[in-house]
Order: sequence, then C-alpha cells, then structure tokens
Amino acid sequence: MSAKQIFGYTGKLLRVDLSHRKSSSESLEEDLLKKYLGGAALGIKYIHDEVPAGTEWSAPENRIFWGAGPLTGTRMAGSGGICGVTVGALTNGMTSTQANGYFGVFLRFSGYDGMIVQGQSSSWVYLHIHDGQVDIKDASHLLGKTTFDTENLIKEELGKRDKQMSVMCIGPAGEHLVKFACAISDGGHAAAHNGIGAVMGSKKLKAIAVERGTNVIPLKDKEGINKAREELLARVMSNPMQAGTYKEGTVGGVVMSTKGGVLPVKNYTTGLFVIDPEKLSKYTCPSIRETFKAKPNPCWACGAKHCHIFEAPAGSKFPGRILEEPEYEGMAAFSSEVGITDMVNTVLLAGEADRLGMDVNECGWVFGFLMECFEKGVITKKDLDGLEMTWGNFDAIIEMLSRIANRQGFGDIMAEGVMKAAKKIGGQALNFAVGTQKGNTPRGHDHRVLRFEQFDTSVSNLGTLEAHSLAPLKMLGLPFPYDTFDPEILPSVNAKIKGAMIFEDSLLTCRFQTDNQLDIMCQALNAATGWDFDIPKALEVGKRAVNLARLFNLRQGIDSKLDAPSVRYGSAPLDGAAAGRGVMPQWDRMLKNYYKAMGWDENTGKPLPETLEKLGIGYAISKS
Amino acid sequence: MGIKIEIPLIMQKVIEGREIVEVTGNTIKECLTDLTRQYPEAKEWFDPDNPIVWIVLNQSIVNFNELDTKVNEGDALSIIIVIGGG
Repeated sequence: MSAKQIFGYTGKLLRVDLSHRKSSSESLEEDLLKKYLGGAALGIKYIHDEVPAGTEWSAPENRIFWGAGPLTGTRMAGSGGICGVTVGALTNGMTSTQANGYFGVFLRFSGYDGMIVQGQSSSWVYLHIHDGQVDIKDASHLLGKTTFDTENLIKEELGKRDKQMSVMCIGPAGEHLVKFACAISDGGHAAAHNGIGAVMGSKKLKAIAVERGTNVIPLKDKEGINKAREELLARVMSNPMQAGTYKEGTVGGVVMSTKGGVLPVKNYTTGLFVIDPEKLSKYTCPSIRETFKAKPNPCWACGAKHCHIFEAPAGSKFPGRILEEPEYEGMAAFSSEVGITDMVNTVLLAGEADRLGMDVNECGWVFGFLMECFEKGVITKKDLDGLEMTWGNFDAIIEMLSRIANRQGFGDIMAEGVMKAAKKIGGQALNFAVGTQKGNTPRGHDHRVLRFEQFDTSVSNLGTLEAHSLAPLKMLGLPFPYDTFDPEILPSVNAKIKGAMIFEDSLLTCRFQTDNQLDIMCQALNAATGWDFDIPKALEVGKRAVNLARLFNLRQGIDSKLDAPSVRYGSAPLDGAAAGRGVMPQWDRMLKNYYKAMGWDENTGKPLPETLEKLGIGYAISKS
Repeated sequence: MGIKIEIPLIMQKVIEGREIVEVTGNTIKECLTDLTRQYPEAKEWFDPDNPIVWIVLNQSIVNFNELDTKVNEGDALSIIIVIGGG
C-alpha cells in the first residue's frame, strides 16, 4: 500500500550512510512536517535528535541534513532554495545555512524533501541521485578541482547539461577541512556558513549531483500559489529598497553602505572607508555588470534580475575567467575590509574564494585580521614565507587564499578561522579578532553601528544571524521604529522576532524575493498544503527550532558565557557614526532581558521546561 | 506646519549630530525638502533611484511614490536606515 499523500511534500527522506555505502528511503509523517515544515527547522530537529552529545564536527557521528521546503519547486517566487544543517566546524555547534539555485528543486523532483548524509567514507566519493536511486561513485579524479570545475566535470561525466542536473560540491578548501569551507552549487550559489564544506570534506564527500527527476509534487491549490506570488511581487515592488534589490541584486551594496557608514573597514580599526569618488563610482551595479559582461543566471522561479554569470575583463589578473556575480558581502569583504579600492580586483577575489570553496564573508575577516597583525608586527614577512600582507595587497591575498585552501605554511593557521587563529597566535592578536566567543565571525557590516545584528550574531545558536532586523515589525505588533541602542527594547524585539527568519528558511524561499512578508508566506504555504498557518503558528515553527538548537549547543558545551562578542567586535568605534558607543557596559543587562523574553533561565540561558512544553517539544527536556 | 523628524544615528553626522529636526511642510515631501534645505548633505540619502532609507509616518512605512501624503500637527515622521542582514 502506498503512503498517504501529503500536499506540498514528496513525503520521503533519503538517508545515505557513507560508512556502510548504502542508502535508504524513509517516510515523513504529516504531523512532523506540520511542526517543522522542512529546511532549517526540520534539519535542526533531526540533528538535535540524532547527533550524540559532545560529537565533534569532523566525527563520523556528525550528520548533514540537506532539506528543501514545502514551496520548493513550486511557482512561488524564489522557491529554489536548499538548507544545510549540521554541527559546524567553526563553532562545533548547530549550523543552518542556505543556498538558492536548483539543488532543492531537483531533489524534490527526484522524490525527496530532504536527505541525511551520515558516517564517513573510507575514500573520496560523490553521490549521484537520479529518480530516487543513489549511486555512490569514486571522486578521486576530482580532488584538487575548484568548485566550478567539479560541477562541470561531473555534469560532463554523467552527460548532463545545466538545468538538467544540480551539483552541490566542495573545493580544495573543503577537502583540506578549512573551517570556513562552504558548499557550492549551480555556478556559485553557496551554503556558506560555519564550515559545512569542511563537514562534507570530513566525510570524504566531494559532491552531491542530483538530476532533474520526474516526480510531481502534489499541491492543494496551485492557483492559490500563483495568487500569493502576484501579491508578493506587487508588495515587494512598492518598496523602493526591495525593488532596487530585485533589479540590481546586492552587488552594488558597497556604495550604499559607504554612504550609510556601516561598511566593515580594515578590521574595525576605523569606520571610515577612504576611497576616491571616481573609484567608488565603479562599485555601482551597472558599472560592475558592464565591466564583467554579466549574463543572467536566475534561480528557480525567480523573476528578479539578481544573479549573473561574469566574465573577467581583458587586462585583469584573470582575463576570461568565469565567475558568479558576488553578493554584497563578497564585495565588502574584499574592498573596505582589506583596503582594496579597485572594483575589478574586488570581484576577482570574491570569485577566487568561491572557486576554492570558502565563505567570502569569513575570508574578509581573515584577511582584515591578518593585515592588522602584519601592520602591527604581530606577524612578520618571515612568518608568511615572504608575503607582504599589507592593506590592499591583491597579489598577497590571492597567494594566501591558495595557501589557506591547501593548508600550506601560515595558511594552515588561518584555515582555522579568525577566532581560533587568534588563539593560536596569541598576544595582541586576541585583541584584533572580530568574531563571537562561539568562534564565528559577523556578516559584512560594521555591527557596532548596526546593533541588532551585533546582538543577534553574538547570541545566535546557528553560527550566523538567527533573526533578521528587517522583519516586518508592525505586522508582528512591535514598536516601529525603535531605538536599537536601547538595552531594554533591543533584546525584547529580537526575542519576539526570533523564529521569523527560520520559518522562511524552512519554506526555503529566497529572502530577496519574499522580503519577510510573513502573511503572504503563510498564504502560499496554506495553498501548497491545505493547512491553516497564520503568523503566530509560523513563528512557533521557528521558535521550536531555536530552542532545539539552543539545547543542542548546551549539550555541546556552548553555554551562556559564549553568548558574547570578542574584544574587538564588542568595542566602541573610534570614529564614524557610533564613535565612542560601545555595547559591553550594557551587555549583561541585555543578555538577561533577552533570556527572560525567550523563556529561558535568566542566568544560564537554558530553555525552561515550560517554554519547551508550550512549544510542543517537551520531549527535549529529557535529552538536555 | 511644524513637524519633528527623528533622525537615525548613522545619519546624524550630516545633521550636526541632532536626533530630532524641526521642519515645516504640509506633505511628507515638503517636510523632507525643508530638511534638505536646512542640511544639504542629507540629499544623498533620499535619492529615489538608490534609496537607503525608509520614511515612516506614525509607525507606517511610506513608499517613495506616496510622498505627497498630507501631514498633520502632532504626526511623527522618522527616517529608518534599511541596511541590515548580510
């Protein structure tokens, strides 16, 4: 007898055991899906339940959940996402990281809402998924290949073209267990955070190739999804900021952030990006796209003119090289953060990090840190085997990127990520590291000005932001606008928003398309499934996941002492918009306010039993 | 009509460090025009082709094509910086 059909889902999960080289299919029950939806929340539930306490990120016992959501592969705008959940390499705690493109869609068309990879292979392999079947194939010939080459070689080997197959793979960085290695699919779409690429590397898994199968996802109300898509588009296009992103992506964000005074500049040694106006004008989207002969490379069901394939111009370091259009974070990482003011070089460096399979965001902090250490004599030319790691030195960065990806020389230390590298170097270096006490670095702004992001990054359980400052506050009944520097209001707003972003990451829709419009997202979810979600129920899904991630991290030894920024990350800016305004004098008070608002113990930050019961996850009390 | 505009921290550097600016105008557009008349450097923040702010009237976002909305005595106008996330 066939399993009961669940609208919005294939109803199946693929499990691949690399230690025993076997795969199996499991049913997903409707009650489970109603509680966790898919993607981030479902993945956090699986990792929480299945990975034993104290598991190291690189151990065979760690697992990787790759999950799509109930809207993935539908006509809902931006519904091509995939979410990876695992024990991450930088924090050794829960990780949730998303990428767009086609991987999630093709996984669903192959008959699976998600997959779990467990165990550890004895030799390098890649997975080939085709219409429900899984082949575990030798990958020894792919070792050392860049992410772009790996994708192309696998497609060639299996006789598939773009849009017939999606390949999620790692580059040399993942192979060498660089702790900020990412996984990349579809020509540059990265699941970037907390070293999920290193976890794939630890399992000797070079890639997962999934063919566009023929499975049809049952939908309760297709017209309802179309209607939600139209409403969403109308709302998004009426917001000038979102309309701008729709047309121009985020690649030109350095110009906007320079005006806003929120760029990360030279490892937070200043907040002022000094750049000639003529050079800054090259960082606008039209200028970048023209220079790199941009060709559209849209994700599934995306009407935005956001993602493009670039070709490096003649006269540049790598003429003719094919890259993906960087997002804002790649542009910021390799411009203001490292003292580069040449737009072409910025784009080339972001592309090089993608090719080697490293998170561009962490790369920016790594090089900013390294350059400050070099400038202040903490690290010398001799330490770097002759490299002069001065601000803006393009050639030195290119060389060091390779050394990091291959763990050569000093690159082996920097491959640990900023926070761990600072501990290894010691002395003054500890004061230069920008990051959280858990071990990850912030996203690409000066968060000492954007205090919501600074607080959220520091208390997050996921190795990156856990909530989004642009959530529709009024829709959630919250004060708008509010003073983000107020130690009472900020933690309370953060706690109340918490869950919104994870809800979206569980549906797997692109935030650049959906703009946190929770009401329309619920409308689309209900059309797909026939359920009756509203905003409170949506937030509950996210809050369940946050609490399970919190409990898991506590089991890992990640306690409230680590809910804090590093010395530099928490410092008062010396200049710029927030000069002299440091967060640390208020930190303990903010933390207590936050824990209380989350329903956690005010001192330990541990979720209270009644909080867990209220969210329907009382079962987790006994595991904590 | 006198209206107070709340200025976000990172914009205050072009508004002489002030958190509140008093402007006059009968519509949002007139109020913003008065603001940029008093502080010309603020103009770059309101470029409709490259916006980096939201205008908020009494807790509601005002779209850039709705700047002719009338304002009344006691209304609260705020400017919100929209850069966030990553």
